[in-house]
Amino acid sequence: MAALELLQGTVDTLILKSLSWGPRHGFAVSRWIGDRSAGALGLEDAGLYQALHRLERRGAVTSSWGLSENNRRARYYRLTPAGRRQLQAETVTWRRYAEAVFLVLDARTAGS
Amino acid sequence: MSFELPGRTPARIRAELDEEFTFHLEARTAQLVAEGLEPDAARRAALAEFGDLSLAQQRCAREDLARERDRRRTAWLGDLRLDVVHALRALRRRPAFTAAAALTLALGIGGTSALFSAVYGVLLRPLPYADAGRIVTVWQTNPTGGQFDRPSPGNFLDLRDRSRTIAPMAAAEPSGMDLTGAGDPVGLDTWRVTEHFFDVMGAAPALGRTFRPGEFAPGGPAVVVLSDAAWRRHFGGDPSIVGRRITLDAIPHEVVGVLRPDFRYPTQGQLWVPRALTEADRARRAQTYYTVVGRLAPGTALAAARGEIAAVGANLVREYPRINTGVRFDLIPLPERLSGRARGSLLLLLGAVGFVLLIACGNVAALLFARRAEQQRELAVRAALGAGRARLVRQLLTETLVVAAAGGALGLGLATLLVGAIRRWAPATLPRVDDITIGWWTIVFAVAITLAAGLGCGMWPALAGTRSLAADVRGRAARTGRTRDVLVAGEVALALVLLIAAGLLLRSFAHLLQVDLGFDPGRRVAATLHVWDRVPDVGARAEFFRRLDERLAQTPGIRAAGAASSLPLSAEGSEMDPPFLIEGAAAPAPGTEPTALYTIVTPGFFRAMGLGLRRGRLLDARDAMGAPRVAVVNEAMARRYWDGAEVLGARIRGAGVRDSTSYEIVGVVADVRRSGHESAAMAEYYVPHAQHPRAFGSMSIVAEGAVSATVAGHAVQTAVWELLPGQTFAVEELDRLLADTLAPRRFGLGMLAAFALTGLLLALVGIYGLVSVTVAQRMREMGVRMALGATPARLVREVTARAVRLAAAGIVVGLLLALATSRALRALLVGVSPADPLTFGLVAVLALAAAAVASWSPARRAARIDPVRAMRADG
Repeated sequence: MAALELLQGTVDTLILKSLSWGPRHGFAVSRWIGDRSAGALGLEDAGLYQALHRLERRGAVTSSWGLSENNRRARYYRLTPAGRRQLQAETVTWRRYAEAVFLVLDARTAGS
Repeated sequence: MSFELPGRTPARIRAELDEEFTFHLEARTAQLVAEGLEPDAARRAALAEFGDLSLAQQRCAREDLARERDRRRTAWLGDLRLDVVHALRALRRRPAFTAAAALTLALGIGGTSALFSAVYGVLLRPLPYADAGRIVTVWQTNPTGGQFDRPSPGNFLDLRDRSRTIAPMAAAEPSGMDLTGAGDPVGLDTWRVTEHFFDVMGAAPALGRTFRPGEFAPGGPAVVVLSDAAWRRHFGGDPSIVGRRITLDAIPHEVVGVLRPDFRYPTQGQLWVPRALTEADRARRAQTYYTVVGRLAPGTALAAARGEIAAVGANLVREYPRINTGVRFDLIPLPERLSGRARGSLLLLLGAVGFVLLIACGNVAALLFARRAEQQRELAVRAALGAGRARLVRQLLTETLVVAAAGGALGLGLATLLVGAIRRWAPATLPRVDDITIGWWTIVFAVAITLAAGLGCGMWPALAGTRSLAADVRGRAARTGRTRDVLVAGEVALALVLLIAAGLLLRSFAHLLQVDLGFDPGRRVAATLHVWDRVPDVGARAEFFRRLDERLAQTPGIRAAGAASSLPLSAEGSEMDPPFLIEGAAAPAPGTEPTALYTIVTPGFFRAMGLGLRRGRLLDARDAMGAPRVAVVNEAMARRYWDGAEVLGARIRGAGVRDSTSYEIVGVVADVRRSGHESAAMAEYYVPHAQHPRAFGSMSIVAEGAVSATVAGHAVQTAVWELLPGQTFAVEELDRLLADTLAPRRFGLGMLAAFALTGLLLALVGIYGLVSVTVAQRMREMGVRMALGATPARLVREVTARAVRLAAAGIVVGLLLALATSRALRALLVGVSPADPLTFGLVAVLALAAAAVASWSPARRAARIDPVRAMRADG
């Protein structure tokens, strides 16, 4: 199945989620999203990095340089309190949205 | 002060992005290699997978740069807030400094803001007429003088009909109507206006409408438009006034509209009525009294209209040579006409108050220098903690601006008071006084001046205070001292320029007051009566004025009384200026006859005015109807037309076709300056009222009171009402009219003197402060000298002498500056040259004396120094 394209707002939420366990560099975020969605979500890395830098400007994440697993310099991103709040709010909204859509799509007859 | 990490340059941002993306690509490549791809293939795949690399770099760089900008701005604002809080705390600990600096600045800012409000109100504020820049006023020059005259009705009609560049064009004729039936009968100033007048002015009425075309036909309906003031005063602001009928000159007029309060053209009239012009008016070309206005046709430039009017005018001169020879026509745009005359004086006053502001800034700068010296330790600590010079300067400037803001706020309050004072005491000749108010323009100006003053005063001390924080403190004090010397000398120089300007104007004023007017305005009143309609019979009219003369002569309280067709100083009379011929002399070409002022008088006039006789005799009772026609000329006329030759016995006659009676000249009287001290005497001749064929019906009574003008005024009213009950007329006191002519000068002089004295005071405060600081700084040195035998008196003399020498240097510079700039006053000076040595010398001496006193007082402190304590003191 072809990878689904993602809406812009969704990318931000996914990135924030991926950072919720701790700091990660951009490559790790990309891999985590790909793994978790079993490859269904095709997220272009160029777009991912743009989203990361945008999130940093808006204050949802901050970045700092650190050493990667194999001792290379990498830029690590980390959630800020504001980012954590944004993640919570967006998760709630997304679930509600999805549930509502499912309710409609699961209707068996025209009336129910 | 916050610690901040250095920001990232664009180059650094781009480098970091490169590093980030490289890491990603290499990691992915390694992953693909681990899955079995060839390194090259893996690298290509990783790159392809990434997406548009350069676009990503661009966009990410943009976000990062924006983030940098935001961060810098927040830091800057945060620093500013800290600086302001710190400044407020510090200033509260030094109330004396803060108060002195703020009050000094308040004087300068308040003065300049007030005067700017005046300049704005009079010169810059938009007029309440639509697109007022395109309204022009039309003038014709007087053939004898160069002055501008209002056009005559005939000339106006032709100009209007022939001009293409000015359309519409309209005229306003001054008049008066008596309102009855609404309270006491009262005479109201009326403007009779021709069709399209209100279209030209482009002013919509507040209530109702202006005139319709049908109302300008001869015999049309009687309608009137009221001014806002008249509506409120006489009709109580009745909202249903439109459509009501009011009685003017015994004729019911329908009120069709009320104008807005700011409509004041041509003057603050009270009524506007339509004036229907007929062909008969076209024949009246000699009487110049129409105020003519027009609007430039769309797309026409002023220059083009001027050219056309001049050409049309040239044609008129050709067609009517007798009246129009030598006459030229010109246009003046309305805004310039209304405010132009005041421009010079107002700008001069604005410049003068600017000087005061500069002097005030000088004092504040000196205060700031002293404060910087005080703050050295604190600044040194900050510098040691890592603050850059720019940061420290910013902090110091913030403090200065906080003080300046306080001064600015106080200054605005002061400006409000000053504007109120200006409005109250402004002379009647200052146009648009009602437009002088505090408004957004004042606030914008005050804010701008406050910023400029704050930065101006503060920059130098801030830079100097942070120059080299490790340097020797005493060395810096000496350098600061020299700067302070220069400041004080500069202040003295500026104050001197103001004082000399005020002095020159004061001498001019005094000189003017000594000018002989030719008549005596003291205790005299004038009352102008128009009795053409009330006493229509010629014989009865002549009799009326004769009886009035008699009646007034017998009234207690009146020492002398007479009447004339127009009086000096009074604008109510009918000034006439017809051409005349001298019998026996060569007749000039038609249209080039000389003109002289022609006044019809009763015999009592000369004594009542205090007009002196020079040769021959005055007019008296024997010059009645039927007796030989006589006239009396003034010295100016005698000198001009009979220079040297015998004037008594010569005969003159009017040059108009209607009036060709010849008069014998039987006397010469003194010259009269009709418009006050600054006017020149014109050629004039007087003829008896009793001999006037039509018993001229507009005469101004002049009465000299035995005790006072007020008593005389009441007596005149009583006498007139005995003979003509209910006649409306106004009584003017000649003294007051004379004072009004001097009012503009007095006003300008008053303001300039106030500025000059304020400037001097500030400069003296500067000297006082300088000497105090010098004494404090040199205490140790003086202690040593006293211990070595110098007397206190000697030290005091030395300190005083040094300050006085400084002041003298400032005075010399001030004298040179004044010499260079006093030329600007030339137009206002009378009888005094712009380089008048007496004024310059006197002001210089006074200033020197004042400086000496200002320096002596703090210098005396040097005498009380205890040598032992002084030597132990710091510095």
